[in-house]
Amino acid sequence: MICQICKKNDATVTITKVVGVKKIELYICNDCAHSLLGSAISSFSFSQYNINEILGNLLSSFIKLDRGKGAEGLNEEDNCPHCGMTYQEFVQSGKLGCNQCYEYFRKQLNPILCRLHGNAEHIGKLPPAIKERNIRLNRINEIKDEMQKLILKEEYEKAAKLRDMIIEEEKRLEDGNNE
Amino acid sequence: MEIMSNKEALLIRELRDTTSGWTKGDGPLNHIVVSTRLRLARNIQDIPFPFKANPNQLEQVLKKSENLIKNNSFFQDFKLIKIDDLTDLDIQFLVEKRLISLSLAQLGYPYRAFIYKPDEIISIMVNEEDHFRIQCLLPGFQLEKVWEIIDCYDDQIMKEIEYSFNENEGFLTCCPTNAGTGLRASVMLHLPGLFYKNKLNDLLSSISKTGYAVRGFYGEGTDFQGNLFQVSNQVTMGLKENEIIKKLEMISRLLIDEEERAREELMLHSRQRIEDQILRAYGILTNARIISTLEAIDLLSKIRFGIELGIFTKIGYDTINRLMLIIQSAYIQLLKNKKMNENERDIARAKIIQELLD
Repeated sequence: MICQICKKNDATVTITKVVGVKKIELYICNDCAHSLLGSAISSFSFSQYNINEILGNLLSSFIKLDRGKGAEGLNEEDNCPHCGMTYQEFVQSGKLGCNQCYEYFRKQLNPILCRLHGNAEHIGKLPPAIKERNIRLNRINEIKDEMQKLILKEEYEKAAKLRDMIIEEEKRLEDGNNE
Repeated sequence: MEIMSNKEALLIRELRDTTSGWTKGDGPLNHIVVSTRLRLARNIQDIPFPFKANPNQLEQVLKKSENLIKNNSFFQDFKLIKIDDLTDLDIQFLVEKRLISLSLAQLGYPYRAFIYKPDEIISIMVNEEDHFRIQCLLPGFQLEKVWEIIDCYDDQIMKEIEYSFNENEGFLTCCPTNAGTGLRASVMLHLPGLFYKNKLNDLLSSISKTGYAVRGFYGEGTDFQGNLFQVSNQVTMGLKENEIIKKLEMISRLLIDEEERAREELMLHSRQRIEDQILRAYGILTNARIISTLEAIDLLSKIRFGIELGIFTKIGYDTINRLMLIIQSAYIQLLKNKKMNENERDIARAKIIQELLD
């Protein structure tokens, strides 16, 4: 097999990362392995390396591999309107410049996040404002369901009360967003 | 020594003389687990991440941090040290005391800072790779407790500061490897039994295949000196915080069980050999006149093993944890209050160890 990075030499090193049930493999030659992992590769046990550095290097090599597929519609000079980060800089450093880079490069970033984490969706802790908004949204949906049931039962007066509640809740939600 | 501003010099001297909360070494399963650490990576909404921020924006981050500890009573007794006001030796000392990361020490931009509670259990690095790196460190094996503490401080910060967050990628971080929860949980284990039984490589290699990383204790690019291993999660997105923690707890328990089994076998079949090595280590440490960091770390691991096996009853985990920290290069120079070459440090190290062990 030919090295996935330089596409010249034979691949002699396999780097495997298992995330959840997915297995990501990178087949590379000795030279690329050296430049990627530095001295760590020479004694590839669990010693002598800085995990963050290696993760960063791996990340940027995954990004490079994804480049052909992921960069649709983006030129290397295209940059984030907020911080000026270019796509090329992102590929080289494996870092993002600001929160808006996440929006701007989302299409390219998503497959990379999937490779790194096995998933590209946050399901953990939420800031209080967002948590509150989600509770309100859930409540609105519950009332809507209830209202539909009442309409089907032709209990229009009760349904109208629920409709007013929904309007009220939606107004509160909007006020919360504008705060 | 270089001259520092009075405030910074005073704080560094204080940190030199105080013992970090975790070094008491009194947590659950402390005969194998040295400490548990969690850190959260957080950024402030609408300010570019530190490496893309201009000096004004970095200063803004620092100002917000200063206001946070001024205005929120939760942070009342916290102290702030500006990295720019420190000498290289002080910065190295903070790294050696596990208070700041090597990256905070090495990054080139201004307005980096370090905020900490005097017991050193909770601290925040400001303008590291992310605006905030909140960390909490407790002795022994107590992942849930550490999460409770750090979660609470995180909530307090959110009352004052709006974080960079979106519902798709969660807490947004400079490196996508940290995005989502921004949580890195790690457990530091002392595994001499598995080392003597030659079982470490197989175990650690299977752990690294589960999306969890294993690294050493001393510095960033060092070997597993002193049989100390840090196991930590790499996946930060697509799992809830408690799931990340639970999984790490499971993996750590597996290592703890294996270590206990190895120790039982060693005590059954090779008691004399192990006790001989431990007591010889004590002999060298209490008599040597010159000792390198590497040799000291190796011998101190044996003393720790002796405490864990009940061979030493008069030496506590607190002593061994303190020794693990103060035998390092910058710490020794700070304790002796002078710059020293390697040979001078080796002599001073031998003396310091004897003072604490005798």
